[in-house]
Amino acid sequence: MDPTIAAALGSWNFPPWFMVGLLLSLATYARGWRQLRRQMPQRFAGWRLAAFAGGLATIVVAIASPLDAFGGLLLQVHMTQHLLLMMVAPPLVWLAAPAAPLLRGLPRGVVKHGLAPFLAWPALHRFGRRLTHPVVCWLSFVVATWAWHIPALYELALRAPAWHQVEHVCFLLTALLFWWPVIQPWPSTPIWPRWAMVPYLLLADIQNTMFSALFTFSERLLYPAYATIPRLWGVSALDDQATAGAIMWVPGSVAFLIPLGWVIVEWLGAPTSVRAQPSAASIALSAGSTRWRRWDLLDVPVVGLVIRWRHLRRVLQIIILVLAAAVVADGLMGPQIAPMNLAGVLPWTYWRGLSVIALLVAGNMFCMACPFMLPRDLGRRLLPARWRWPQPLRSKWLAVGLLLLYLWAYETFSLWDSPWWTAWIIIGYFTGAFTIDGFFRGASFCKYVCPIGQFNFVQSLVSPLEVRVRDTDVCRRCTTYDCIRGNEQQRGCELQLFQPKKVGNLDCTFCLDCVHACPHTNVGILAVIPGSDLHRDSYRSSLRRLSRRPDVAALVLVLVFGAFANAGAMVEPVLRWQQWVATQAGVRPMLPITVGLLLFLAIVPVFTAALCGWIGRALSGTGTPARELMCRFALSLVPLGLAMWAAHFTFHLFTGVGTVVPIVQRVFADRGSPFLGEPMWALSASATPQNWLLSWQLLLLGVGLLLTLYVDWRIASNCVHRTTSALGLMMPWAGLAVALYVAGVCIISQPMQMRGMMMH
Amino acid sequence: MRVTVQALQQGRPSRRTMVALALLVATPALSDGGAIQVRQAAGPFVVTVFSAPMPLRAGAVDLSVLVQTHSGDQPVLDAEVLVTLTSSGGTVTINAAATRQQATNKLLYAAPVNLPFAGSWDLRVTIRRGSQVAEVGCPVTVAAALPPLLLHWPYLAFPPLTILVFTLHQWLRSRSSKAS
Repeated sequence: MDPTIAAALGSWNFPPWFMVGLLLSLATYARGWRQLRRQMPQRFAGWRLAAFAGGLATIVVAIASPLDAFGGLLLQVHMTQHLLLMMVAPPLVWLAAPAAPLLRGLPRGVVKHGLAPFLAWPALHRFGRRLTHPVVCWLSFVVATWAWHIPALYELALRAPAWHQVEHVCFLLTALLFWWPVIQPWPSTPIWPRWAMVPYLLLADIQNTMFSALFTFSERLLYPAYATIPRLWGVSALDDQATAGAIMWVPGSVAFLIPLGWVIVEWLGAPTSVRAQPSAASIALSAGSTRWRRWDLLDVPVVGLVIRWRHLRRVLQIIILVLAAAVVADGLMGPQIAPMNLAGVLPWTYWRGLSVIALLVAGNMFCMACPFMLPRDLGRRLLPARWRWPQPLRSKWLAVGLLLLYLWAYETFSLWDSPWWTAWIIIGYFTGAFTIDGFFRGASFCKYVCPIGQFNFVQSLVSPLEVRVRDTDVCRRCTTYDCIRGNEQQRGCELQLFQPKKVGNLDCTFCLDCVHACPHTNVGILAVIPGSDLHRDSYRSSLRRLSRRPDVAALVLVLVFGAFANAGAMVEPVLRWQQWVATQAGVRPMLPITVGLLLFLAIVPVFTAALCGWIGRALSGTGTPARELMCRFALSLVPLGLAMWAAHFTFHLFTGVGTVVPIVQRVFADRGSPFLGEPMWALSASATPQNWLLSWQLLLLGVGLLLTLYVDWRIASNCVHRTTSALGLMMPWAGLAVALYVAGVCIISQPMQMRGMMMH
Repeated sequence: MRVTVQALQQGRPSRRTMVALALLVATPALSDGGAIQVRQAAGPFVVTVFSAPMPLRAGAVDLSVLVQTHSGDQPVLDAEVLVTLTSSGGTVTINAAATRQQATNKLLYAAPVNLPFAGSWDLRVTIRRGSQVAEVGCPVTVAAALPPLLLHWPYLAFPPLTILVFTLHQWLRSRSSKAS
């Protein structure tokens, strides 16, 4: 093949969001089509699915193929692109009768609770009826066609990619409207009699002929831009314009005439009476749809088997333990420059980033692979391990204190920048786990002490997976309670979470002891709607009701405000402010950091939460105690806090993703085995934040805010019945969430220290 | 923009008209989602340089180069293309190799470049193909960068839009429950 032609044909470009959207649409349609086909095999024959897939494929060809790449250089290619979007894709999509399959393909809950109010809205029905009136459909199509070909608008689309996209969306939408009365997709009912489609299509063809003739016979260039654009393959601009006209004329007319013939044949055939059809929504929600069953990770082939494997956890723990040992060794003996040391990169850049991604997409995976389990088990063997954890310490207050201490030490001593300190923190952790579980029964270290565990417990309240009971009826019949008591082969839950009473992921280490212990295999890793139990004040096994746990509320507040403080402390304005205060006051930078953190992590959260509780109570007139309100609403901030942690930690992970390579090379070279080559330190210095990273961070914060506001609304609706009272109750908390969101946006839009890299 | 007399003489009448039109257009012409910064005959090639976004702003920009033969307008696909941008005063020079792999339209050579600041810059494009070397260039004006948050407005707009839709949803639900 001619290399020029080969290069031209290779000019494909698949915009990711666009492709994801189309593939999801196709998957949803296929799922719904398969279910409807069982009920109505004649109505949903195989060609419907082929038509839908063909319609979407046509859109892909128009938008992602070389047609798009060459549309700016050749008018005829641009016209072909428009022809596909206006004449081919829309009729194919409507032939697929997409409304019912798409609705049926969505999760039943989404249709029933999310879309049903809109689908039943009379005003929307009236609007839809007016919008699909043949006069409106015909005029919108013709006006869009002519308007976008006015030179000023056409050239605007040529020079600005955003306007080009608007043009394409406009063409596609108006063409979908145009073809609606012609195809009349099931189960819609026509407004005009069928014969009216004959003049409808004829008139459209006539205007198309006039439009095409203008291009074909014009002796001057309609779009001056094409005069200055380099010509390809010797095609002159005027010839190009004439060819574009011919393309619109001949295939365009065929696209009108084929359905015209079809309509005439249909009209001349047996007269069909127009019957009222059921709505697409009622078809989607009608009986016969399959019962929704929670997705279970343990049911996934291979993955489920691996996770069920009894020794998986031990293997993961050993892997992490080896990495921790390497970090400690390098931290104590390696170079004390963070970007050159395993202790400067593995925990702060990789582990934090990967843990938070695991929390977002799965659950508390770190605790599952926790290396501190091994010293804990060793402590139990070597030490008495028979005392119960002291009653006054059976809460989260100790963990709150330790977290505050850690967040303060992190900034004050720049822990991220000190391999030596990092190594000692890990050693301290091992010692703590060994000692505490060596003297005290159960998992006292995990439940009451470990700050990492508390971080993961709280954040996993928003995770999409949860270790929970599959069928509650099975638990009702159970008499042995192995999930908590254990049995001869397997211990029960060390954190005293009784599966039938367990709600959410708080205190769950994903150890899967309950999964292995249950003799009925009735515990799974089930999919849940993230944050769906944050608004419920149910009894949560050993945690009891969270509305009566101010220690849990305090833990949440420290972690939420800590997310913003921790990220804020690495942006330029805050660093400058710290320096300025220290200089002005003539003190060491430690003092302003300490005062600032004390203010932001302890005083501000407590004061703000109390104020929000008090204002909400006053506005709503509820009799619920302010303390209980504080405890419940504090939980609503978890999604926003996790979003901020994720925005922060993934920033370091994505910008520093190559930093470990030269360090590993250096470690081996230091040990006299330079088989990995000379360290490539450039990998540790060259990463610059990409444009998409800010989009990703804003997306995280936006989703976090929305989930927080939703939980606020649900809590308020549970507490009071009147809408105005609920709004009053949630208003201060929503205000706090919005303020934190704005703070988060300000933080991530600032230049950040490239911690763990040569550039910081 | 500079076009040689030779290029005019070699072109067919319709092409000549186009080149003359190009000379008359004072503002940059537009193509491929970007603006034509320069179209110039140089050595054995005719070189067109496109830039996006329009107008050029400090920050990430895309420079695309179409190299064609003098005779026949055939795209040249086996050249080495180097883009050089020098700030006024010569304080900053940016070199970037433009390649076809980086281009959407595989007839072009594209180079993503990060312009650190606004102002006047000198754009030079060097084309090598075997022993043939050509260079074209022009001054370009770079406007100030847009605030980063403005570039990401859809991500800032979706929370309030979702809240609006949710409010409508709740209103419809409460209306229907009252009616029933």
